[in-house]
Amino acid sequence: MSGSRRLKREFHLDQYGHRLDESLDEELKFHQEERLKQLMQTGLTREEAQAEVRRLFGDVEEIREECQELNRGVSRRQRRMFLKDISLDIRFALRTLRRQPVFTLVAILSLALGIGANTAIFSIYSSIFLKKLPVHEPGQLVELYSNEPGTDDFMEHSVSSYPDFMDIREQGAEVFEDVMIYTVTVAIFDNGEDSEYLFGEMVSANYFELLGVDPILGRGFIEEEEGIVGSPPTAVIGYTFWQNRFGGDPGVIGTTIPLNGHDYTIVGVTPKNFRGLYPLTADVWYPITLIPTLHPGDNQLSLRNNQTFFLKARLREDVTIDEARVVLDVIATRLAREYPETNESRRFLVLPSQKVSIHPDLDTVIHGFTVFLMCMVGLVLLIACTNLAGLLLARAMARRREIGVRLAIGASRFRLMRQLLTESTLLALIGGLVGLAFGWWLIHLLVTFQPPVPLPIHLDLGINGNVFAFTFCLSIVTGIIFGLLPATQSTRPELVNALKNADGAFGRHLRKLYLRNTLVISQVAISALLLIFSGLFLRSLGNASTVDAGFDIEHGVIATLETSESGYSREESRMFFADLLNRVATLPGVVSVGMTDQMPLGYSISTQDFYPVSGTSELDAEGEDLDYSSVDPGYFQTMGIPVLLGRNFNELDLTRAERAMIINETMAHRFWPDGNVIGSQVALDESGEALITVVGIAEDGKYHSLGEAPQPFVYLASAQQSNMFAHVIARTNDSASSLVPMVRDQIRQIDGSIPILDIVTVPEHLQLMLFLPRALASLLAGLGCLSLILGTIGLYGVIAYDVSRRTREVGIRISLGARKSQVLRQIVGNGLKLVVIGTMIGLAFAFLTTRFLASMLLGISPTDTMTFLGVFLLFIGVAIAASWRPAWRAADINPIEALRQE
Amino acid sequence: MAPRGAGSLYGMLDLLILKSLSTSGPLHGVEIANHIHRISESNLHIEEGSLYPALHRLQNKGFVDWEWKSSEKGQRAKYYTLSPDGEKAFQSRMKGWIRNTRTMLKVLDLSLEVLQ
Repeated sequence: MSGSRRLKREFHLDQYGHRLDESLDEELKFHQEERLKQLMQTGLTREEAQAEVRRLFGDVEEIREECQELNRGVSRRQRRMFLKDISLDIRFALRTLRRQPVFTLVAILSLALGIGANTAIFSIYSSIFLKKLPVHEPGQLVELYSNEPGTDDFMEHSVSSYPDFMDIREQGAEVFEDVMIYTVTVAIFDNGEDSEYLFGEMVSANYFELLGVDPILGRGFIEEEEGIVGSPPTAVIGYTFWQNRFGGDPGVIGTTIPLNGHDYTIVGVTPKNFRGLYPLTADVWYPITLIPTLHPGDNQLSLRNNQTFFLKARLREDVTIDEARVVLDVIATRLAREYPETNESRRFLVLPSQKVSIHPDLDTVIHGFTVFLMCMVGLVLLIACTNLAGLLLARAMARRREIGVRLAIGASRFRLMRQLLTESTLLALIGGLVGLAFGWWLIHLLVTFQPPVPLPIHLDLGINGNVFAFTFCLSIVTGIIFGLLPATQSTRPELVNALKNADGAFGRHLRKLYLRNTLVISQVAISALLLIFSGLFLRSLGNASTVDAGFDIEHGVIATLETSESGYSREESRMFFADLLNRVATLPGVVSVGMTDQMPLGYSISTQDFYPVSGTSELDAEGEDLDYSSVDPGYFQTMGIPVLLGRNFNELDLTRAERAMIINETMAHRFWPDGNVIGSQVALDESGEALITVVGIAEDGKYHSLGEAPQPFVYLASAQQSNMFAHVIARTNDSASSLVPMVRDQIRQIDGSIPILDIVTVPEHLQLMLFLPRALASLLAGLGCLSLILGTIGLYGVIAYDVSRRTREVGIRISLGARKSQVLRQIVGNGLKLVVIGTMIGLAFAFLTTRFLASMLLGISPTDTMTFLGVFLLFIGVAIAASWRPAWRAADINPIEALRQE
Repeated sequence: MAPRGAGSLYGMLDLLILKSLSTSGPLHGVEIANHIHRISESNLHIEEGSLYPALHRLQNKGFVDWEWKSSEKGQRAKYYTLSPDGEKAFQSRMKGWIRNTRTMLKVLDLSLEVLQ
């Protein structure tokens, strides 16, 4: 039977591909009708004929069943045979693998590392982009944005204002079932014993109802109760927070929780799988209408121009998104007419929620970055694959004879290839399993790794269905990739040569050798590339700790406080901080105290326009936008920033009408090139009426990042600024960890409920600045090491194999008089050659690509000679180490035995 | 169903079908039944339903090939032919049956003439 026919038969198909059992009915019907006709022709009436046909035929159901049973039997048999084949293959593969434990172990390890890393990165990708919001009918949800007129397409989708939200909600009722407003916030939980930052969302009262999220305990928010300004503070807490903080106590409903210095009544707990609308897990939700209550005087909600909130809406059931667009355009036009000062060119944009992961304008960037990371780990896996391909190729060559015999006996090439592929796939699956465990461990590391930012960052990472499926598929693909080459190469039916154990045509042998060598070279190149990257970053990191940041404080405590939440007036706030500074100054070990509204190298920026006064400076007449911070007199001494010229701020600056400022060296040189700085005046507004005098010049420092170029900076006197937010710094000579509770105590003595945003020691604060470069460097270093390990293993494998193949040749040479040292040199030389080529290629690549990283590198050029040289030497060392043992063994070969060996 | 049991015609159905197809193919189901009826001089009326499981068996074993053809009236009918494997099987089964019958005759101490 021809091949296609056999195939069709095996799948129960007829000529046209119709399944056999379906056509049976048709056949039976045809038969019955024919019979009927024939019988009628013999004179029977229709009824008689039908009765006769029924009698002749018997039970049609039985017939059908019997045929189906036959078919099932056949398929069952086929499946059994197939399964038997597969299980044979698997058992054989297991036996082969067990016979070579070292190889198997090495292979599994390499695969586990490679696959595990990919799993971890994929879980990040999955948690951001593949996450499905556990809400009701997510397909009906849409995101609403206000446009940002005047900007280009980037960041066109912008946030919206509260009054606009209310209008859209009211006027859009025909297309929207409901509209909600929300924003992200950080709430400070402080119960007197300890404080922590909570990530939370401020939401409209219809939040939970619109999303379709049912709290597992208590309730969501009620429009009538929480939707109006002035209602008492209530909150819904998250499941994890409920478990951690309250031990899952159901009695938590109705109790209060101290947030932001106020008591919020807990009204509900969210289900376990709901973590809010942002990639970070939210712990608390409270009504956005609380803002005016909590911050008296804060009119965020009433300003139509205050665009800071996100909007989501649920479309009515049969409404399309285009219809919604039309309605929104109408609303926008109407609002533009009614409120021309604010809404003149404002439009509203709508996108399906399912098309947006984080933000339509950011999604591509974040997506790109994550994909980049995935490519990096993909590279590592590739190295592992080439490794294994090389090793398998070597083994396949060693099994040439066995394979040749099997081919000669009549095994089909396909069958043999399937056998070999089963081996490699099995290896990959085992490696994948171990990799899954490794990936889980990595994810665990990532999750518990809290960056030293005073924000709770928990990403929802874990091994879910997607990740598992990804790992499984990756393993299979990997197994096929690295198994395919050896499988095809080694089953080439050149039987005679295989049986003779000869090398076959000279050319073919060479080709195989080149293949393996190319694999090794590419491994070395990729490893070199990764190592250069990590080397550069590590050195940059080392530099970071030696850069002069312009301040000099080693030990101390920094407490961050905000008085606006607690209803302080400006004057009360000033007194609070003055009192606190006095108290902290008296604590044991404290040599100096100071205050500022912005720590250097922190993450915030404040700028202010400064204008020149009648040609006394080189400031731009249109106003110079400069960075500044407000500090008290004690600041400079506490932070170790020398005031080089003029004077520091003093108590008198508080009452004096004349305002004072201290500038840094760069500013002085830039705007007063002729040098008459002290006493010079500058204006804070265009009219030139608000004047301020330069009273001192402080040493330059770094203000935003350690890698920045020198820039002008202004210090304003905090007494004249009346801060509501400040960092209080206490300098000590020794470790300050014992001081932290004492400072907290002092704060509490003045005000028992003021929220303490943060109290850290100085070293902890410094860690903050270095977090990003350190994390990146660690990641790359890890990848680099991984690739180095894999590359070394591969190299060792190649050289060992090479030596084993040439035992005979070496034996001959020794017997002809070659000395040990010559043999050693030759073999090590071969290994070196490969490595040198690979390294050069890798370095060349690095040379071309590292320049793109220049901005992230501190004090080190992207083509830093030492790093490149270091990596090169490292690989030379690796080459020698890898080739030493095989070379030594080769040199020790007894020539007689070698010649005898086949 | 055709009665089962030793010496019944059930096991012979395959042989009959194969013979029909060997003599004149391609045939569809009804034609096979008619053929058997005709050749056996109306002595054999197989239960027509049992034809189909047998045909299925033969299909699975690869002894028959089939083809759907539209008849003159426009209906689809399945026409069967003997495959090369089927031809071989037919020959071997026929030989087998002859062998068995000869043995049985010897055992029963009968000769062929008695059967006439």
